[in-house]
Amino acid sequence: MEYSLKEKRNAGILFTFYDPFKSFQSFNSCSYSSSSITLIIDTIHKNYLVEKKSAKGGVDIDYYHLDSGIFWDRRRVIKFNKKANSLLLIVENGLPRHLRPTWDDTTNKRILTLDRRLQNPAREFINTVEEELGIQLRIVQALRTIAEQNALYNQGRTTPGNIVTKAKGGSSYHNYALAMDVVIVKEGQAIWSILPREVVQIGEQLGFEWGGNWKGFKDYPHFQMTFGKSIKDLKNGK
Amino acid sequence: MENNFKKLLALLIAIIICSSHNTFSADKNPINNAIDSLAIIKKIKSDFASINKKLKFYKKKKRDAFGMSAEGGVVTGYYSKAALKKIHCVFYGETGKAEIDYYFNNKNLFFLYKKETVYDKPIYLKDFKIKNSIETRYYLFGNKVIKAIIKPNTSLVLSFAEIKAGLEPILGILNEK
Repeated sequence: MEYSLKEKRNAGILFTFYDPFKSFQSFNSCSYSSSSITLIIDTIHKNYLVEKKSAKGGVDIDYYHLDSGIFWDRRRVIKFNKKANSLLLIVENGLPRHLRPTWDDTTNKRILTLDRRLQNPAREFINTVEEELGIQLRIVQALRTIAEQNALYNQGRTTPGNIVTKAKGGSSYHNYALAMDVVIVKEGQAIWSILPREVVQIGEQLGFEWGGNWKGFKDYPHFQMTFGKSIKDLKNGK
Repeated sequence: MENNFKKLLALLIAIIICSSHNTFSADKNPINNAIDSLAIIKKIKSDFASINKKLKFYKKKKRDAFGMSAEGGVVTGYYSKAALKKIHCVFYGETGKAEIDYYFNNKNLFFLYKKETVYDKPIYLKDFKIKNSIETRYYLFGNKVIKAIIKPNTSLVLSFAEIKAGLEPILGILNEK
């Protein structure tokens, strides 16, 4: 459901610590830990008159908008995904999802190492997954240099460890900045589990091929765009 | 004496009921099927063991396999004269690797062994280690899976058609000029 919030003038003591619209965090989009969700929702109901606006979000997702005359306030929305038990503050900065920086600085930097054709879909992927599903993804690797690939190739051959790859430098789509690996981040921790089907669907709708579809070995964090080019084509500079 | 007479009577009644309802003939197939399956599995085990014993005598064809996983792999075919006996595949991924063996008799796939090793995080991150291993064995006969063993047990069991579909691209790689 979608709700509008009007500040209670006669609220007496205002509970500001857990008020997402009053804390210093409220300048940027962010997510809150699951343990603080109940406190934040309670605080919203204590500090504001909550009025139902529309059925947007259905029974699973509640949106809380500040009904304020101040332009800045109107751009902030709280999204409470009851099914996923996630709470997000979304600060609209006027940019579409594919241009808006993601929630994560590390991811933003890694996106810039991708081929230019992948940068907008990558941003849109991370932002859409966060906003629609309440799941925060981090890009753990985008570009992998030829030297980094060779170091992996040497492992178990000329350096200690087990063999982990058959791909020499230039044999991975990562080496051409055409692939990225993502992981779910929950309360600061990377969760290396299989990605939910809905996350994969968003990626595929944006044009990514998913590594979970491979027949040899399924790499669930991997997404790539090859533009119809094989590794051989890329090696030959086609 | 009376007890013996009762036992004899019960036995006679049972024989009469069974013969009139043809009970034994109805049960005959499942019993035989179970025996047949055991015999087939025994035969499959001895056949792939025999292929493995003779591997060094077979002609080898090795191909690099890209496009099946993130980090490439190798597909090796073993041939006795022109007949394909075994395919051994190694596919490397960023989060693990898979080793797959296909065994053939007269062009028919009769056994599949697969071992998947899964890492706790991708290979390019420091201190990644093996999280778990999954071993799968499929005993195949007459275009059917007659036995599947998956350790640790999972609910996902492939059909014969799915196994064949998985084999197609591997044969494609092996037959590349």
